[in-house]
Amino acid sequence: MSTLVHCQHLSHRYGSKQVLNDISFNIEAGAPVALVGPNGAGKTTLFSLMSGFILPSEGRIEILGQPPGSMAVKNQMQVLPQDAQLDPAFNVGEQLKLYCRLQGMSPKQQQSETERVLELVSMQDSIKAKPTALSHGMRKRVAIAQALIGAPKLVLLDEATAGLDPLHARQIRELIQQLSTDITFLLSSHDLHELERLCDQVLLLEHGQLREHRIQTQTNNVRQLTLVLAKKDPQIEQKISQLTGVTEVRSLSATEILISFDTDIAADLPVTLMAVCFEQQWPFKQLTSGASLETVLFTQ
Amino acid sequence: MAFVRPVFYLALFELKRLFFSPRGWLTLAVYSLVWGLLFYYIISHGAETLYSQEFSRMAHSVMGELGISELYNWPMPELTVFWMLAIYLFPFLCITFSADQTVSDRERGTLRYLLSRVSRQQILAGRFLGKVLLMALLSAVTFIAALVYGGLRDTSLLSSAVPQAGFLWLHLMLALIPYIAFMTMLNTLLRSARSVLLVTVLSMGLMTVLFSFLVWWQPWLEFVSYIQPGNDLMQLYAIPAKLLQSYWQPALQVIVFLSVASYISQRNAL
Repeated sequence: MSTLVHCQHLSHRYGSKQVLNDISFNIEAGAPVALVGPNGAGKTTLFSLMSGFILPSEGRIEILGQPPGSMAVKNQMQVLPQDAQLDPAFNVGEQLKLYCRLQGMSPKQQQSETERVLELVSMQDSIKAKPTALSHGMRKRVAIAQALIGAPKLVLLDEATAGLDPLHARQIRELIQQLSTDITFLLSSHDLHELERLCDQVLLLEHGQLREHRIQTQTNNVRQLTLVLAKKDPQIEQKISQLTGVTEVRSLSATEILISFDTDIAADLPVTLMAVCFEQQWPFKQLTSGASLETVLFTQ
Repeated sequence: MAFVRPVFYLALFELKRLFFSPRGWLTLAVYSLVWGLLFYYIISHGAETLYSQEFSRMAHSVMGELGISELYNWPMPELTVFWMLAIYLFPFLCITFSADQTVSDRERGTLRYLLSRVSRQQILAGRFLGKVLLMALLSAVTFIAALVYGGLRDTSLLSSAVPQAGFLWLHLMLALIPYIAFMTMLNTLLRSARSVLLVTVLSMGLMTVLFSFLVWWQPWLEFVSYIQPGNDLMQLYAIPAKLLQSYWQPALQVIVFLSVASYISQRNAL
């Protein structure tokens, strides 16, 4: 596994405001990586630093062993910058062809590559449309398309599905999943369920500090289940804690319970739990293996 | 070549912006209309007046006092009047056409898409070259129009006027390129094309006043005025005798302005 991104003691300030404070992390080639955090936590700043749009106040970043923005990195890393707009004077096809041309493609390749990436995001019919004639969601999909031109090893997507309708947001998620065998994606999003479905590694930025998590990695014999009910029986936590193998029961919200159990003692606890739900007529909605990303990041 | 090729592609894309977009066509229509009116009302009447018997002596004397009597000996009067207008109009046209090189794209975020593929220097150089090519094309076409206008009256003048127009065009471009480089620099400093335009006009005026005062106060400070684009415009009047004698000054200005632009753009947040 090769290291695509290596960040060491990275800090960034806007005037007197410290946005990133001494963060270090690595991103290896492989499954998509999530970058999460509240508004103003520094996600877009980190993306901008990695893309070479701004220079760090302190610390060092290496993208594929090179400084961000260096010519050696061009074409190997592509970016979907947040809020960047295409040139309103030219149509979508003309702009994507220019990008292809700048990436060294021949006129024939420019045409086929433009059609390919637009088709990936279902925007092939808008090849002759001006950006101003497109909706916000359509412009976002074109912006995602430009990040997929060529054969990048690393793609940074800042809020890729923000502003997309559910159908197209799902389509983009599927696209990321499909392409992640060849491309490593770094995704920032406020939709934790989306990131949960796509990513193994999560970078949480909060108050300029970074915490790193791995999703669904079982390091010992303790596993977790998340049970979601329409309405919670007051006795439910007590009853579940009495089941064999259960080590901890935590109420996450008015309808959610996190159950930890020992797989050596009760490997089939999910089956037992379902049976209890039916037997007790608890209004069961969902049983998920593991803790949700939201739980992992914000309640544990 | 790895540096030059993308620069060339970006420059060509800038030409496309003017010649292959409805907004560009509108700009070209206005440009053609303005020059059409100038040719019809000023250049043709000016040429007639300048070379009429009644005004001949006076015009010769006035031009002599201004140190531009050489203009009176040019073969095609239409070209003479056109040149007197061109020297003052083209810098303004150049400033207008090249005010927005990177500033709008930077504010809109479009430069980020380009920056994933090319360097900041390549973007600056591409946009600069695009504007240079644009002004070269527009001014060349206007020179051709002046030759055609004069040639329609007397075709025999064309044989001597065409090479002269070529020299004049070359000198005009030498005078215009520093303006474009100056705008490239301001594009890295300011946040809108309108600000670039206003600051350019303001700084040209201030530089003229300041440098004139400095030279009057201490004549040895004349060298500071070399940094002002168009500071030698008046010298362009008697071109054919001094072809390319002062090319180093525009070259120096271009190097300084583009170097400053490159330095600032490296540090600009995009």
